[in-house]
Amino acid sequence: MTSLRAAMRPMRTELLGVAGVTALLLLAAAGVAVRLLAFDLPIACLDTESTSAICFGRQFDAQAYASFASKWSGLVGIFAIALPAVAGLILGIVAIAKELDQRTAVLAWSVDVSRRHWLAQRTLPLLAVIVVLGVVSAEVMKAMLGLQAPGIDLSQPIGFEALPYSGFGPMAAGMSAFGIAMVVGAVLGRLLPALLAAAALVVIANLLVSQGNERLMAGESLVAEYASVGAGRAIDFMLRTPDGRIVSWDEGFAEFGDPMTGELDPAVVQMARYVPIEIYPQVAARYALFHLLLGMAALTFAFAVVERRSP
Amino acid sequence: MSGTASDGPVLETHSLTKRYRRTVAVSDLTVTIPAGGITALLGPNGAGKSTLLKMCVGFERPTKGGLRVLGVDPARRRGDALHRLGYVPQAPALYRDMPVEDHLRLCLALRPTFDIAHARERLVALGISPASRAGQLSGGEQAQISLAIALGTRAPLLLLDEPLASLDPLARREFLGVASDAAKGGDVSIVLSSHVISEIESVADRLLVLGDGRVLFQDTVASSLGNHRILEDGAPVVGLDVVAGFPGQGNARHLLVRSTDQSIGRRSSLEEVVIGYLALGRQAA
Repeated sequence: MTSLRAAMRPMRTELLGVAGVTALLLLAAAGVAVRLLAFDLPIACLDTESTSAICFGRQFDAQAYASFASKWSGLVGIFAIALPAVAGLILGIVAIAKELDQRTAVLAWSVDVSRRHWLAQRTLPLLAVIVVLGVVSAEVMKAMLGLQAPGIDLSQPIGFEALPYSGFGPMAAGMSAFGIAMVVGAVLGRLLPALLAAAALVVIANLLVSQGNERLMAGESLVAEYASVGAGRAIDFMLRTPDGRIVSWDEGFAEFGDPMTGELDPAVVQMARYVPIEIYPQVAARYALFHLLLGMAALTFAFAVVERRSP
Repeated sequence: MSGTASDGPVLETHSLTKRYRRTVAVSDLTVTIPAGGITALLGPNGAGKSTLLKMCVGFERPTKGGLRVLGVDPARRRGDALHRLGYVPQAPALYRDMPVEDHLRLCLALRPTFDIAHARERLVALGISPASRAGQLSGGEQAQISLAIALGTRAPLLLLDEPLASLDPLARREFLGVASDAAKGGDVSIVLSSHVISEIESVADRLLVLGDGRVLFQDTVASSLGNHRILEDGAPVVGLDVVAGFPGQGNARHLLVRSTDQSIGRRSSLEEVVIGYLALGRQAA
């Protein structure tokens, strides 16, 4: 048994649990993929309105495909999104709170001459596990999206709603959950209270990161014709009058709308304030960075608490 | 590793105080424990024994005063102090689901100088299988694992914090036998806290009696026994250096007196010396 295996041995049950759940996720994703590929539908036929000759008589299959894909790939997707954060939470709690709760920290802290060494020895491999889970999560989500909408180009950003489940997002969220669980565990030193408090803080942290990012995105928004928004995020809707003024929808409708038909003057153009999809890479990097910084700050604090507290 | 059992004192405190909010666990304690042999740290629950040992290991920080473990202040240089000591807690700090062998390997991963062969050899000699899960072993066997781990550190000082408290009489004797053998080798000094006085007598070289966080008495076991006599209630005490009176067996009142005169009263047991000084401490309080 190497030094690494020996150091990880006290957390074997939880690590095996995480490995088992990850295997289950991959199996579920593979199962969904096998089932959907078994339809053997050309991409053109997934449009249930398709009039292509090769889709003749396959409308029922197309509907069944869409129904199965939206239900099961959606469920697998939720599973995939949650995995890194939930695993981070559990492993973070196991890393410190469990040791304090079960008083096994007394053994480690009296045998190891450096608590920092003890904590680093268990933190670094667990961080590596979370990185792997983040990659698995993002790839599974990508595969599920590809199965739900086979024609979609996943090499391009599909929209800002993908921030938590694509690229570095899942990994970064897992890291912040891990750091929060570590520091809460180090402070409280009790398994169940630490788990509950850390879970609540992870939810709050995710909301804060998302809200913070949304606010910054609002500052980066543009006003353009609604038709050009594309995959960008529309955050407000307005109208451009024939004389070039940008007015709110209500103002524009009062001036140029027909209350009887509900239609606007054709010379009025629908506009939108939106976040262009072109800045997705920097928004995604910022989202991941917020989570990573939060996780690193929490980890640093956890090290400081462990250094000072009694076991 | 610096500091051996034969160098200077293994433990020195100067006006050491530890306060937990309103409770004073250790109060202005000044004590020196010389190297070598087994020093029994005796006293009732709440006397400050465990707190003193926890401060030595760096688990607690003194509120006031100084503490040196083999010349090192654990509050300032905890790592250096831990290099010099092995620690056995009151309740074995073991992973219930982990085999004994994995505990030893974990200790090696935590402390590269850990002598795993030495620890394993100790356990095998006691008939404890390295493959056994710690949680399936008896309290005595778990205490032996903790002691083997402390011995495996090859530290010159072992701090044993009430390891006998939850053991049956046979397990106590086995535990003390292993500790005593280790101390007899001369490379290891042991500080053993306990309130099981009767079984300490056969293995301890020195006594340190604490009460209410203060030193009530300190001497070698041989001197403690040679310098004290017991008088039954009603015996004349004029001119004698009476330590304290305490209830003896059958509620007869006993007096502990400092004297080497064998014509006075009868020889005291170690337990009576300790109880006498604890009674003195209570009177003073």
